[in-house]
Amino acid sequence: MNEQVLRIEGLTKTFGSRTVVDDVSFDVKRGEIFGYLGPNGSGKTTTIRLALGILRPDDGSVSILGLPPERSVLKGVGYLPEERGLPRKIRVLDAMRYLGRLKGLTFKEAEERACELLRRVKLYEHRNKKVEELSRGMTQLVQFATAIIREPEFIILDEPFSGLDPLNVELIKELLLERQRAGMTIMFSTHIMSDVEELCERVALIADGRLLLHGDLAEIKRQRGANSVHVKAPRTPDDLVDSQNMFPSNGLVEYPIDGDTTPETILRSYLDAGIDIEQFEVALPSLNEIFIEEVSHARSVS
Amino acid sequence: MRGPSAEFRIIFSEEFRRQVLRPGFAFFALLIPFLMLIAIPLTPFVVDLIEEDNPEQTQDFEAGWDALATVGYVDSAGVLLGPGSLDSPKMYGDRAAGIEAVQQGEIDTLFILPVHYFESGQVEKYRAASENEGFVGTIWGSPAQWNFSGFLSYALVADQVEPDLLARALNSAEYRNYAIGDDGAVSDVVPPVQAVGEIMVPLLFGVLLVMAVLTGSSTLMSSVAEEKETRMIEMLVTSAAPLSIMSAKLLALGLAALIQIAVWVSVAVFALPAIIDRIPNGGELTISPDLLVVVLTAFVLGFFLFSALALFMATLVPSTSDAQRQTGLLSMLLMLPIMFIGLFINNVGGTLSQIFTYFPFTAPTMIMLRLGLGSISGSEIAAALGLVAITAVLLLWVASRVFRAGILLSGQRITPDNVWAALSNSDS
Repeated sequence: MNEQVLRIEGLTKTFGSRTVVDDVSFDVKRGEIFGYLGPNGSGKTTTIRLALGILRPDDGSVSILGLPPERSVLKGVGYLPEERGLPRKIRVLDAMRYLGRLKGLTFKEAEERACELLRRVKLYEHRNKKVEELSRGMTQLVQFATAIIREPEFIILDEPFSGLDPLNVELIKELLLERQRAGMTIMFSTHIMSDVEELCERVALIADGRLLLHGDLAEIKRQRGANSVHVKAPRTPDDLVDSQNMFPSNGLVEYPIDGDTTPETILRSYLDAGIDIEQFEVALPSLNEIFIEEVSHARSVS
Repeated sequence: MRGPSAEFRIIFSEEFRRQVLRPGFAFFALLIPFLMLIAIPLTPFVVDLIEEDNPEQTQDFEAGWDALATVGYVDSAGVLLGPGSLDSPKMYGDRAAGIEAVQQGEIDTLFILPVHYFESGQVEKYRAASENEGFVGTIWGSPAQWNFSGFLSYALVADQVEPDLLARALNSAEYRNYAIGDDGAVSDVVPPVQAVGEIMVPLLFGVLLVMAVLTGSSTLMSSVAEEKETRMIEMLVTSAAPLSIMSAKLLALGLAALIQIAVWVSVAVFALPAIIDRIPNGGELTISPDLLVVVLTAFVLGFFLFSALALFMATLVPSTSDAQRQTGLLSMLLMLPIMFIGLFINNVGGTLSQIFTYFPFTAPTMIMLRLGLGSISGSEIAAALGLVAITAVLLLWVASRVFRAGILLSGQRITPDNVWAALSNSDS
């Protein structure tokens, strides 16, 4: 499972005087769902275009499926550009078949796969409509189906959930997990942290073109350390009364962690007071909190 | 086994399918045959109308002057013989009587020879304002005017010259044309009716070329601009080389255009003989196969050149609407020789004519015009069409590099340095 499907090293891209991607390095491993995070305009789309050889880097290197991003290699890679990427004035089925054939399928294979995927995303009855007649969410689903039409080894999705209603977001997530189980490697960019926490094992975070974090999501959270402790008990020790936050709905009490208050000191207070503890958990920071903290910090420094 | 040509074939077939499925394709392909088919029954009526407006001149001038039945004149100069035995034109005693005759509809044209006619040669022509002959009539005159001139010549000298001599003087020559070759051999020059065919075919194809470029290049430019707007371009360049993409688009459009021409020619093979049969002396109208080959070659190469130019321009414009606005520029280039025809019609081998012949973007129409005017050599045609072909290929290659460079330039300011760097880095 350690084989690298995408390896990016020291990637740099400058547009005029603006460095859009600045010495970015990360890798995506075979079989995983990898989240590429960053605020709007942080350089996510440019990194993806560099990874696919659509743009040329000023510095650094890209290896995709073990090779430079050449057209022959990219046949095995699915790509969903952000929001667009389909010809507007032709029928849905024709558009999917056309792009499927360009990815190496025969006419018949492309047609069959297109119909199968359209059924899967519940758009089969719209197959004869022109792409421009579809809603934004429908177009996004068709694009997603087109990106996986050849069952690529590796798929890169640029903001795959944008423009989708919650039901369709769930449908895409289900499809992604299904493809992962079938052995596909998936990388997607987003600025919606909950999607990443739900799907990804590993992430990279970029802001203003610079990589802020990269690695295993659980490990990143652990490295950040606990930011609070949740305890469920009949009462609160006297020495902790002033520092508690109550959650009346579930009976939990939260204690923020700071310099003097640690999970150990809190546990010791309960034990010393002879209070039976029903539940004691160290809460790790959410990805959203890490994202805000890291991006804010990077921007204040720069 | 799939290779680069597989992507070319896929893009070619998709682009071709889109071309032939657009409503304009069927309309344009069927319009010309439809016009030819309705021309068959209409031709005799048109011929009658033309003959009505242009009565044939005969040796019997007095009979020819029947055409002057709706013309009157006032001889204030007192130089004419008077109507004598002629019923027409009608003579009026003074200007007021003549003008009243026009107002009453008795005649439609009144000529007045003023007192100073003999010295000045001036003749006043009057018509009802509602019967205005327009710009062409004012400049070139009308059949009534031409016939009145004949009557005037006759009436000035009829009592002083023998009738036979007068008849010959008024119809002094019927020219027959011969050409002397470099080797001294004498040959017939194309007879007038045949010459009509030799003029009409190149001019017709010139007009068709402008129409084909207008519709075809507009579709092509919109297609490329839309792919840039929708980021389809990113999907394409990850699957096929820019030169494959561009040449597939160009050839698909070219094939669609050739199919249109094939439809026109197929219908013309049946319709034209039927039309010609209905024209007096139409049997003499022949079209040389050599001429057809040259005209078709100029058409095809011209179409490819302008399609390549359309592709090139589409790679530069930012949006579909901008692309559509640029289409007019293409047709302007193509129509330059037609717009400047007045400057070289009397000097077809002159400098301007030479420039238009060898400038690739005006060459196709200029060659057709010069073929129609009968003054271009085979070597000139070959050299000019060769330049058109070379320019088309070069333009296609440049367009594919600019197409790729346009993507590489995405997000950057368009400065000469950036453009040069992108062009240098772009593969084709």
